[in-house]
Amino acid sequence: MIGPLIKGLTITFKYIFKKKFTVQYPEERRELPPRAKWLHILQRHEDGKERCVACMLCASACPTEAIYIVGEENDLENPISHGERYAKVWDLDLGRCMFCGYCVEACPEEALAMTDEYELAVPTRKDLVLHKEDLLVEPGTPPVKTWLGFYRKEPIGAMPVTRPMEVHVEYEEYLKRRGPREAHE
Amino acid sequence: MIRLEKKGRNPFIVYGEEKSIEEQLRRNILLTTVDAMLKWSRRNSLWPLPLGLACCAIEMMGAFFARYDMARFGFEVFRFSPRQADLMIVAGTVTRKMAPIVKRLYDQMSEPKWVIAMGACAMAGGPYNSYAVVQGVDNLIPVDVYVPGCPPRPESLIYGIMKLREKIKQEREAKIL
Repeated sequence: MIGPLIKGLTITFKYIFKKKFTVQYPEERRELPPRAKWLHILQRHEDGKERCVACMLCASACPTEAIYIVGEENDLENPISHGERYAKVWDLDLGRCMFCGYCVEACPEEALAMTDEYELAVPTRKDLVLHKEDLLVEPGTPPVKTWLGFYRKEPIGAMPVTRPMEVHVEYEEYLKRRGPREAHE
Repeated sequence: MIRLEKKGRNPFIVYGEEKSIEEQLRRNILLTTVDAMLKWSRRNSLWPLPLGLACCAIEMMGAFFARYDMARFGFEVFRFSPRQADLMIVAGTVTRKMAPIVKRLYDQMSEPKWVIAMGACAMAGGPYNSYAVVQGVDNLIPVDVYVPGCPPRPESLIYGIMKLREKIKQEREAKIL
């Protein structure tokens, strides 16, 4: 009877001197994997303009229809994004989102990224809908390399994106130079 | 949510200052210590009733095991009997067939009781926008804290319960009248 008791207690006493298994959560956090997919952010260019051009690709890629976008034409003198349009409303319903990351995959401007912020508890259902001003980063924030570009060597934004604003202005000027055309042409 | 708190918006401040004289009389100085004691004991011994209905239950179990030991905060034991539980953690898809059982379990819990909706399905139906799934457990029972994620990490759930503790701290139960 004594033998098995000592055998069992030896294991117990061994664990006293081992490294503690428990993570003391609020003070100490586990490091997440580099491609952890949690709360989305909307990124900005280096000059502070928004990356999102309201192309609606994330909203159409979303399997649960959690993203709602209203796009609007940019003002030519004072543009908000580099493209023709910008997102006037960009809402994300966390009550539907399942953090699959298809929106980040779909984004051609690398405007969307997912961070490792997983502490998302809110008290009401109304707070579950995050708006653009909650998700948009401050100007001057270093760009987050998305998990999509994990194996990519180039920095964010190196990918050729949609037509920049200068080309758009050039095109407008070209249209002015060319003058009106006939309808059938 | 930390992102909102950084932007100066804490959604968890729910009880503002009451200005009417009746309310101030009710929050009498005689009862403040009783109130503090009540709240202290309540928020440090929340015994949860696990309502694991889908995959979120796995993460809920993970939060209770040795790695993220929730017993450190006094959420000591899973009470599988609703009469001994204070906190209901609805983890998973609430189907229409399960809905009356969820309601009955909530009714059988003794007051005071709180509810956490864990995961997208329990919060708002999640990916299942269908006739068979209740679109949010708040259609059945009042929910105190919503924990987004599909499923949320164990840390997210612990954060949600810490936020619930903050909410209980703001409550004012003891009254003279």
